[in-house]
This record gives sequence, structure tokens and C-alpha cells, in this order.
Amino acid sequence: MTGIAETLEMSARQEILALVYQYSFAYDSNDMELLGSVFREDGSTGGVVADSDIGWGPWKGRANIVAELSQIRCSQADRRRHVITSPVFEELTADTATVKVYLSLFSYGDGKEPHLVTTGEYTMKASQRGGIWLMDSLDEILASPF
Amino acid sequence: MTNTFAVTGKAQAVLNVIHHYVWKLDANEMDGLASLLCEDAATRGVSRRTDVSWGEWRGREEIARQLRQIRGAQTGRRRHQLTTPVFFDLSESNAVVQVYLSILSTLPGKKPELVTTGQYRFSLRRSPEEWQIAAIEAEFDGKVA
Repeated sequence: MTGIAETLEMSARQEILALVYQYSFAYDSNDMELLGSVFREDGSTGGVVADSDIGWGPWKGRANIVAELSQIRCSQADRRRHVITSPVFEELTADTATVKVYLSLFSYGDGKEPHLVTTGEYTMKASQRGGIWLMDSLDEILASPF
Repeated sequence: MTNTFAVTGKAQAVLNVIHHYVWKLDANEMDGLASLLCEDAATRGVSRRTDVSWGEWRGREEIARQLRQIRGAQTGRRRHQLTTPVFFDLSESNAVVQVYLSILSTLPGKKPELVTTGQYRFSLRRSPEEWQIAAIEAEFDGKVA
């Protein structure tokens, strides 16, 4: 890979990972404008709890995603931190990417000390149009209820 | 002068390989894990404050065989979460990176638990096509059973 190609790829990787970091921070801080901004207009998201029949979504469309996640976030009185680690790029082209990351979900407040709520994994599909990367889909598998 | 962007690009490529390694380990996909290793790869490890140690295991197939056996005996859904990478070497053909490790496990119907913390030291070599893991030294801070 040439220096220029390597630099472009590095830049794309950082931009793509920033989407899931922004999503996590936006949810935790209940900044739904920021959360909505990481999804494509027709993006989708959903999830399941492993070994259970618990699930949510899939919700399609930026406005719908924001409305549904806002409702859940507002029902949680504690402070949450979605900590993202161990990213793996399963696919990366000039215009599309598939990335998997691990999640550790911590909580504090509402009378409790900081503690681990659950772990999980996200699979994010993103695409680039007009030089801007956005999420097409974000699918979650949690290890236990949240 | 070092090209900082090129160095960072190499670092990301190396991290992608070691992240793949832990995902394959957790999923018990040992054929995929083996493909990330050099043919002559070696690994060993120790759990501090215990008498538990393993390896040195030599060779891609032997490492995959040993890890398959261990992973197959574990019942929990495991996640080896890697953070805080520190590069000790990063050239065109070699890399040495140390990462912190948190192993989290969830049994069906239970809450996730921290099994142990620890660290990995990965040495990698770059063939013309790709980075591969040449050596792994694991140091866990407690038991991993």
C-alpha cells in the first residue's frame, strides 16, 4: 500500500470508529441530536439479549431511532457509560465498511456505586457518500439484560 | 523524518490483527484464529499469584489445538477486551505491542463477571501480504478457569 493510500485508509478507519464512539457518548449523555447525526436518514438499529427472547427493534429511519432510544434513555435514572473496545474491521472498501466492537456497559448513580451492567457486541455497517461516513445499521447482542 | 501517518496506519493494521485474535478466541473459531498466526508462532502464559502457567506451545496448529481444548471446556460466554495499547517496536516488518486485558464472562441467566485482568505482549511479523502474530506472552492477574 502506498503512503497516500495508507493515510486515506487510516483516516477512513478513524472516521468510521468515531461513529460508534459518538453513538455511545450521545446515548450516555442523552444528546439525541448527536445520536441521530451518526445514522443515515434510512439507517436502522436493533438488538437482542443472548439466550433470551428479549429484543428491540429493528427500528428504521433516523427520526424513529431517535424517538425510540430517547424513550429508553429517559426511563433510566442512572448515569451510563458504553465503553467500546477491541474494534475489528471485517470489511473496508472505499465506500463501505463492516466493523465489530465489544461493549462494556457500566452504570453509577441513582444510589449505586459504579458497576458493570452487562457486556455485548455491536456490528456496524457504514457507508461513505460525498466524503461523509454514516451508519447504515447498528446491531447489538448483549450478554444479559440491561 | 518518520511519516507519522504511515506509522499510525501500520499500528492500526497491527491492532486489527490482535483484535481479530481475541474475537476468534471468544467465538471458538480456531481455524480463523490459526490463520492469524505465523506457521512457527509460539505462545506461553502465566497466572500471577497462582501456580498456573501454560506453554510454551510452538506452531500454528499446536496453538489452535491447545486453545480449542481450553475454550471447549469453558461454559461462559467470554469476551477478551483489549485496551491501552503500547507499541515497543513498529517497523516495516516487525511489531511488538502490549495491551491490557479484561476477561469478562457471562453464564446463561447470570450477570457478567470479571474473570481477571492481565496483559498480552504480541510480536508480529509482516509478510508481503499481511501482518501475522509470531509470539504471544500472556500474563493474567488471577485465575482464568
